[in-house]
Amino acid sequence: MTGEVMSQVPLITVVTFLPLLGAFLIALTNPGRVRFIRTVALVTALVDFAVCVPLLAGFDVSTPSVQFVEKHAWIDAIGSSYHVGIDGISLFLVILTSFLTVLSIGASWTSITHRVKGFMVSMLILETGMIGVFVSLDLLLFYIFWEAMLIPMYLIIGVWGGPQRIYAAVKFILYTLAGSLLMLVAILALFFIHHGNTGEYTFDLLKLYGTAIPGGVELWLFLAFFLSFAIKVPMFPFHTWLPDAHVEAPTAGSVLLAGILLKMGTYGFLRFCLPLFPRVSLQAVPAIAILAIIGIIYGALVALAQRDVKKLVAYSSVSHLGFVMLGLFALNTQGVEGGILQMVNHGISTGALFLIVGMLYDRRHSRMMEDFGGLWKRMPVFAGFFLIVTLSSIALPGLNGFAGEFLILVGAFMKNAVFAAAAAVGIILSAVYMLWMFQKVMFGEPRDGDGEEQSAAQKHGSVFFDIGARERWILVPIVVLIFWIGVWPGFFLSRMHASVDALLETVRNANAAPVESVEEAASRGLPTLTRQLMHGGEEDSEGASQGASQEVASAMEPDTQADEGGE
Amino acid sequence: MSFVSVDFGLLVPELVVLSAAFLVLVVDLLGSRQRGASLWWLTLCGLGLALLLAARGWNLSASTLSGTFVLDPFVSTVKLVFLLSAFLVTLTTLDCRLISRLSLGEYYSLLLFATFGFMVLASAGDLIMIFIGLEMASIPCYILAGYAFEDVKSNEAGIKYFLLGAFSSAILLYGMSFLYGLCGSTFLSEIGFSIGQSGQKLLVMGAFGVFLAGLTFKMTVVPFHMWVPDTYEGSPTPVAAFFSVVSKTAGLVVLIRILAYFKQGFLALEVDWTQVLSILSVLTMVVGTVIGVVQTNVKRLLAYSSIAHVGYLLIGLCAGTSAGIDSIVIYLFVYLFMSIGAFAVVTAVSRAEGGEELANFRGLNRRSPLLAASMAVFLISLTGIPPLAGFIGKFFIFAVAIEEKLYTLAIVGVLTSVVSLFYYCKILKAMYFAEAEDPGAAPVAVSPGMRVGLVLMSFFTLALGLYPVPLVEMARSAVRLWLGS
Repeated sequence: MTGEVMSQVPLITVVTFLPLLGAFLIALTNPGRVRFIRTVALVTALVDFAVCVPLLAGFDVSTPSVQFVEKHAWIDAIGSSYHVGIDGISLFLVILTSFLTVLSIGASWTSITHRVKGFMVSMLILETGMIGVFVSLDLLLFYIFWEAMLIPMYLIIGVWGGPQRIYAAVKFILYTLAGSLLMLVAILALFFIHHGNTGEYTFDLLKLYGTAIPGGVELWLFLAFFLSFAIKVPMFPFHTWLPDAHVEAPTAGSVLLAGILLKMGTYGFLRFCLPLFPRVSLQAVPAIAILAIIGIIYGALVALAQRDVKKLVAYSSVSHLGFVMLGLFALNTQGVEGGILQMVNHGISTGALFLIVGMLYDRRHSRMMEDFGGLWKRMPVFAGFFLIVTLSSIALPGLNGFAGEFLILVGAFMKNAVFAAAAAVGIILSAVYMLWMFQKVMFGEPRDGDGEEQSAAQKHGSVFFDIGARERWILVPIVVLIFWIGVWPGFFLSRMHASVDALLETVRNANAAPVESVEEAASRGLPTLTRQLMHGGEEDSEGASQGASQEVASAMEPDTQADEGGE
Repeated sequence: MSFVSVDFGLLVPELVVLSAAFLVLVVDLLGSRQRGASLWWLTLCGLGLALLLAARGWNLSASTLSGTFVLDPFVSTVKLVFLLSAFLVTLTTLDCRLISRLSLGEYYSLLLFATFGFMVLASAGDLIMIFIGLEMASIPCYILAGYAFEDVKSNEAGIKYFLLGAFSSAILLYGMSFLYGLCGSTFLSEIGFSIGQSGQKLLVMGAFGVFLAGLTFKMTVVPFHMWVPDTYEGSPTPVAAFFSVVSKTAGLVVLIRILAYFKQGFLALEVDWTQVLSILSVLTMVVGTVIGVVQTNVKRLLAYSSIAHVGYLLIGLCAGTSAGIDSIVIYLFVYLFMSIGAFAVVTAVSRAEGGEELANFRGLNRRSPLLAASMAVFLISLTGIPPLAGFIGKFFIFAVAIEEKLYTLAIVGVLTSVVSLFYYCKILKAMYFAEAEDPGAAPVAVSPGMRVGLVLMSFFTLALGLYPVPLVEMARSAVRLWLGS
């Protein structure tokens, strides 16, 4: 009975748009009622998270297909529909989004004091955008969510960020928009290629999968998607916006940037690049793996050189996301599942690190390592949480980071042992910079600040008073998850398994098809092979010329054409 | 033969606008001192009535005045753009006092006269009517640009616009005389037929090239854009808003219709204007965007942005298909709301602040959340970021470009959109991220008409972005009915 009721509720729509409803409610509130605004935001985020529970419970492990699908007509004229659903790849990312939003709103409870209304509205709109990206199965819908989320993030960085916030906000939005508009061009090109092949105008992702794209074009389309996602991840040469944005954003912004926005890039590779352009993707594996490894080592080395804790965490993201990319492009079950798991892990661990840095900043109003020290004694509870999170980020066995990185390394090793060995260096480096940071902040002599922090110091006996109930409740669920994934990753992996296998099957089949035919031909002797190749070539060119002649024919039709100067 | 039969039924919207213009003049003369509001209401009602009538006869295809006045769904749709723009400009004008001692009576009637002229221009079926319509629209526009006659900048704007406008009209006329000389007719359909048979390829190209130069001046296409920034900056802001939409739409529409009439002729002569239009489009997008980056005056910045937007519109024309014209119609409607909206906010701010520099926008969010929020909506929409309407406009334009394999145009369009975000960000930054120079400054007062107008335009900017289906259907059926007949 309940199952029936549940299946009638459009769960995905609720999860996606509930935050928007909350934002609308807040927008109608008097900006002076700060407490009410915070409560509404938190309750909305909590309810949204609660709605994810039936998603997880009702998720069918056995099928690779998309579940909880909703499809309604939207812009019929161009074949775009409101088509949403989740599969094993997006399930945990949706849950992670709603989880981290709750924590972020909790973390900004006291640290955001001016323009609270605008902040909470931005956060909730951002949540809708992020979840929308993960559930969209229509390319146009996806693109709209993908871009719509830029504006709230721009505002969060630009209004509530640090001293260099305006520069960081503009850099963030320009970088991202440059990438995504090129992706729009590629989406449109794909749309018309599909129309040329089948005569159907559609943006439906499931129908666009397997679109036969002419050889040369596939590379360009792949590159346009690649650029957009690589900027978002960010991969090595496109990462320069990240340190600025992460460091200048307020704590909640950093958490969501690192926890979710970066995952949208890696998710994009998995959802779009791999299945839409399987052949080019396979050819691109070495290049992407090398960029990923450069990212891993470069990010770690730069993190080693930082004195600013937040910058260190930001650069560690470049390194960790390199791991994720390496895993995804290993193109085997271990690598891809490890990559997805590591996306979730990174969201949890790095999100937690940013929360912790935020807690330190709230106390000392500094993020420089030399301003801290000796916190182990002053803040024992905090120290415990910090230690667990640090170890999780280093990938200590038994904690979440280990499960993900181990699988990634296994996957990479199966693909290419050299890649795996190079990436392993990154793990060692991460242990160095994380432990070094932990040591500088937690041990040694405490350094209380002076000036504005003194009032707090008098109240609590020290600037570094231990965390209270609110901060504890933010960190507890994170630690639970860290152990849960570390000890029982099977719970998560089993839910990804079917979808990941289906995805890899698609990539493999698309690449295997021409090879098989050549082998078959080879078994029948060389002349046949040549003939078949030539025949295949003829077929291709015929197909192309047919397409072209159709276009010409339609262009010549007087009734539907404008009578411009030259056709 | 002696009397031309006139089907006045087809001219109803034009006649309503014209009589509203005269009525405003008369009421202004006879009325009492406190007549500002009544004139405003009169103008709004006239435009509203014309809008309804034009919408009612929307699917009519006919011609009258011996074929010099043509009505078809495409033209009617464009007239809706004109009337809607004039309506919204008027709505946001009341009480914005172009200049303190100036009466607004003539202003409203000039606005109506100009709208009337543009409507006639859009319907023109022969060269003479094109010229008459153009001049009937341009002369009120010259006066409007210099309307704030106590302001030196406004004078400068009026004179510049007048001199260059007259010059371009002369060039246009010159081109027309060649076309007439070649074909012996002023009717567009007959010219289109006979240029194909003339065999004088070079002469036809020259004549049409001169004609095109005259038109592109009105459309503010680069390299004929030099007058735009100065004129927009100096004109009273609502007038600049009117120019930014209506005058360039009119030029574009004339070009679309003439190319449609002449298509067969050009095909026969193997003359292809796509290359020329593509080059103009790229130049317009690039120059409009790049020079916009260094502006510090918001009105000037919006002027450059409006130049860049003409570049996007030209992409639809370069495609040379009916889908291209669909995309232009969609873009025009979308652009109308966001452009007039952005200028309306500038009107309100400059009235309160006495200027429209970026500095005047600092901390606007604190002083008037409504103005700041609606400006943000318009600017983000102008950039083309979903889910706002500007995205839908650009989406269809780029889609047509890619469908017709005009990849260069699409990519230049995309890249200039990114650059344009940079200068729109400057305004957003000033409004939201910066604090006002004088923290105690009073909130910016917003008149009720302005309030209604801004809410309406923001609403449409958002609604058309989320659900563009009605607009798309209307554009498609208008173009199909037009070209199908």
